[in-house]
Amino acid sequence: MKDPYAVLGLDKSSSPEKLKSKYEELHEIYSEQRFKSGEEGNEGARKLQELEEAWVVISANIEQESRTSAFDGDFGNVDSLIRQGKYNEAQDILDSIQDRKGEWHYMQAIVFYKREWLTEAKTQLEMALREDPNNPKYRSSLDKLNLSMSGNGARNQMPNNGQTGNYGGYNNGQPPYGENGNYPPQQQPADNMANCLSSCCCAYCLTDCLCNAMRCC
Amino acid sequence: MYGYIVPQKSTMSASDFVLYRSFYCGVCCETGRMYGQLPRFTTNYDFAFLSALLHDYGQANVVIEERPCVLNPKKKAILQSNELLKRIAAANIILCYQKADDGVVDGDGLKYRALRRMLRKPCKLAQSICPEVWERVKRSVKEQSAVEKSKTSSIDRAADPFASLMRDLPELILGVQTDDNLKSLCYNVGKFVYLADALDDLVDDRKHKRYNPFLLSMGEFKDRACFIKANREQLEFIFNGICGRAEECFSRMRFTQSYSLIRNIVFGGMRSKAKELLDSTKKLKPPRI
Repeated sequence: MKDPYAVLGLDKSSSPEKLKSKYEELHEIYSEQRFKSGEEGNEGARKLQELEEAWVVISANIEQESRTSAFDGDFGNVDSLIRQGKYNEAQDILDSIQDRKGEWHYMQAIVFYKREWLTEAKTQLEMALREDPNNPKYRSSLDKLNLSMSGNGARNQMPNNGQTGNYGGYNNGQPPYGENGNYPPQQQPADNMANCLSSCCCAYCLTDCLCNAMRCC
Repeated sequence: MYGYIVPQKSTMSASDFVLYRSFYCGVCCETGRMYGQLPRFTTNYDFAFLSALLHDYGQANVVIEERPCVLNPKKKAILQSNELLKRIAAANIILCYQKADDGVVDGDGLKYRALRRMLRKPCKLAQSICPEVWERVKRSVKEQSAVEKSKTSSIDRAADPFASLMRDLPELILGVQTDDNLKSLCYNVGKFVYLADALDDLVDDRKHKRYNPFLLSMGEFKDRACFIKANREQLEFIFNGICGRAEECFSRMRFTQSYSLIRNIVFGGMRSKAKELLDSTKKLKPPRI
């Protein structure tokens, strides 16, 4: 495949602005040329396609470079690890950095956010802003986080009241008869446990028999 | 700990209600079939939700049949037994056994000893069906214990072990790799359950001097109503954040037969349960759907 930069007549060291303006210039020329008749039209169409394919590669390179240059040194590594989903390794690098200014807190907030630790992420963003109050990146991140946690997704809902009763004996362990654990008053306390156990056994056997008879489970 | 992930019945369609109940009854019947009658009491709404979620995500065959139930002589729509349901029932038994074991270790009373005794044999059988779930639950217990020993006041850190367990559970039950959206959804559901339980148990934990991240991080506790009022903004932030993230993850996923049911639970049920917890002056009664 032809070198994409050569298609534009420039080289890799050219600035993104120069590359873009050359692309737009050539795009206009070839777009007009392809509507001409004969060989000239065909040539225009071929060059336009070549230009588009080259631009896909060049714009991807420009984006990649802008991403990596956004953070330098250790933070660049942290950023790269976060993008790969390696949050433990990213956290290890952050833990090893002693100088903890605004950018450190910002990166820590991102790691916490990716881990779903939203309260910790908010704390870190607030600390980043305390270090650098005028930073628009920190401010907009905190505003977005606050917005997503403000309950704007909630709609008016009726409170889930009045739903009482047992849902299985796992939590309350009450006997299967009698309400709120009140045993029939005429029984002596010493007999209560025995009666409870025998009633549980009866309930168990009854359930088992019923299940087998009804063949329901 | 269970009963915090419930649907919002007032906004639920009749067909979704039947579908939800068939998942709930499915877990109950499968537990009865595999482990006997007593362990059926471990059936809970949170696992009914998990069953609905995993059946849809895993595109498992959902066949609903009408059969009578021992607790309800009229015929009911119940999910037919399948391999996934067996594994879900096994995971529920393992988690319930672990909760009973926690209760015994914390010295919470005879009832947990009895429950643990009752679930010992079923748990052994469940371990043979899902050994990887058993190992993961054991690891989660160690992590939780370490977090509580460190007496961390960080809400996120405290909820992390249980939330991470919920995040990993679908993959272990389904036996296939799951995507990040399901992982994050389950992580936030697990975090919600843990923190809802901690909020519900404020008074008991304070009385028995048990670990509670809210008590450690949010200042003086006089009574539940005052405590919640004083920290309402922060509590709402925490729960809204979890619900918001769960909704975000749901929106990126594709569901089929259980779409509106799961949507009702994630968008309606979770938020209304959070509001109920914050508005309540005492521990919530177990829900009845």
